[in-house]
Amino acid sequence: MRTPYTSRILPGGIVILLVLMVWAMFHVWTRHMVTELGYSLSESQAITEQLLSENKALKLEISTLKSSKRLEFIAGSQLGLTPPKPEQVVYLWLDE
Amino acid sequence: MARRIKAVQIILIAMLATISLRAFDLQVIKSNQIITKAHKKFDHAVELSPYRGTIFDRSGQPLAISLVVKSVAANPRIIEDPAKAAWQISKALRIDRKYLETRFRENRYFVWIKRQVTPNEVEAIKALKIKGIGFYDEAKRFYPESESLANLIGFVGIDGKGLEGLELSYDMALKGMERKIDVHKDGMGRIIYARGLQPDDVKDGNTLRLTIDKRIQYIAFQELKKAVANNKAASGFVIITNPSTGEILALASNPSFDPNRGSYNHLSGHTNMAITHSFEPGSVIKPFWVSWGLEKRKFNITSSIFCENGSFTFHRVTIHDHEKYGWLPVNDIIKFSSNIGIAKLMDPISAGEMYSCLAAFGFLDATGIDFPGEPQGMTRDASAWTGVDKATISFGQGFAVTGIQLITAFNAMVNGGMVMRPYIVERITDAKNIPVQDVRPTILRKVLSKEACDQIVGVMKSVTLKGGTAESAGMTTFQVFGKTGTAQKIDPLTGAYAQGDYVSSFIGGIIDATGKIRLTMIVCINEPRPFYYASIVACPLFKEIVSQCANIMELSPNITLATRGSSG
Repeated sequence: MRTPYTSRILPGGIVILLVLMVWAMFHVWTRHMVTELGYSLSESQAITEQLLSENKALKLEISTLKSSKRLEFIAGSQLGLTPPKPEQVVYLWLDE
Repeated sequence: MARRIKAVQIILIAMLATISLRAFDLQVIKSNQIITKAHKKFDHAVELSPYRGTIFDRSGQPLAISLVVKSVAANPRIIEDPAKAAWQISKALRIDRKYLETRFRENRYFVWIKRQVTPNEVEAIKALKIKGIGFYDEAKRFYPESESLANLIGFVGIDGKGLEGLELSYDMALKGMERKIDVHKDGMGRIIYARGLQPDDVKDGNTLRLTIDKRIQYIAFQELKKAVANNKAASGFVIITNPSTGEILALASNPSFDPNRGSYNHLSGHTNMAITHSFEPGSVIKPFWVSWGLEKRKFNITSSIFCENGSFTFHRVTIHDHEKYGWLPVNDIIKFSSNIGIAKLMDPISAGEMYSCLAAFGFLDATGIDFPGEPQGMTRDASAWTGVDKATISFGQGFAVTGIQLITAFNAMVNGGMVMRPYIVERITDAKNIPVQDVRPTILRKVLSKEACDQIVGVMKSVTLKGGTAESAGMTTFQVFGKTGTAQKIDPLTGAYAQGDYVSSFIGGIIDATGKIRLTMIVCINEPRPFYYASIVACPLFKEIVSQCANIMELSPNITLATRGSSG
């Protein structure tokens, strides 16, 4: 049998407990989110580093493929080209 | 019943009170202690290594670029069978087996096995599945143009620190800033960025854009290499510049080395001859005296000197010319490179005035080029000069200069009289491509009037014409000009001139159809054999490089309408 005192206190206590529970769950959820986002950031960082590294590797590959020594070798050995002598250069006039 | 309920209530209250007290103890009293303990266990400082900045040529082609590669290390304490592991790894990495086994038997937790290995080597080691072998990321520097730019760009050590060349002089700008940030690690060792990443957590190195054109550099290096080999010479260098600005377009030095091999053990001939090597200039100095004399009105272009038919005793020392000349005008003293002519021309001028001429052209000081190891000029004070010293200094003996000093002074002589500071780096940008520093052409001082410059360029044009000492440098399609130099070398042991050891050089430029001097160049071959005259050794090299550069730079030829029919 409820007394007037318990009927006044009990709902208030339940509300306070509920608020505390929600607050506690929210706190746990935010900590969990921080950890999750930390993992996510870590993965993104690793992917970024990998992509940057690949990008640099590709740039290096391009510059190696375009290196003067290689181009000269290909021009000479595969295409039979040599630097033109001055008398081999033909200059065109604008009106021609 | 009520008594039992009371007892349960008391027990529950006691339990709650105990839990509350414990919670209070942990959360309040021991809070700091526990937090510290937790931080120690889960918090770690992670080092974010920056990328070393890339070096580009003037058109944006990479000349030095860093990549992350793997290095292999071991924990000898957990390698179960050191002999077997050493045998397997030595085969995969091509390292001495005994050396590895000795390292694996050391009572240590960490030893390097091989640093900066190839991806194939990484796969080969992984496939062995040996306990106690690990991989670490490290940055490695690559140089796509290899030896053609090695003496200029230099190289970095295994730890990524610049050791020579531009890598050394711009190390602070290139290396970036290492940052340590605090992260959490979970039970599996995975990193959790609990506080996130700030924009300035990683500060990659700045990038350099050089004034160098890698195509011109390659031509200069290849032709120099051929010339050094063909003339059985000890070494040589070539500098190509824009005379109006002081920009270095190419700076080749031979012998060179492969900077991709990356260790002092593999490097020989890594001196940059053009900047760090001093030598007696010989006859290439003569136009400087003439231009200065014209500027100061000590003589004029029509003055003539009697050249004593090839032999002249001067202050009790006999000076020779390689041909017998009589009266020569100033123009022909330069054209035929008469030692007697220039000595007599400069005789009335005091030592102090000659010294101030050298100072004005910058032969007494370093040029201030942005490259390490540049020496000062080597000239005794004018008060110590005798009459003979004056004569020998007038034809380029008795003092020493560097290649970069010569080309800097030469540029002043042909660009209207301005001494321009030579430079190799034209722009520094940060990792986000925001300019940090833009290098602009810098006028150091003015030494000659335009009139004197025009006169001396005219004189030097005649040197490359028929009968001149640099006839072999002359071209039919372009107007070139310059001056030869063949200087005997001093034996460092005896202090006397060494028989058969010469420095053969040519300094000159090319003029396009508009009459503008488009580039200037010095070529220098050290100790060529058996021929040592500049007309045989240095001039053909100059001509070969200039003709190829003219094509690359798409210079308009100096062809008049009269030759139009035959040219096309």
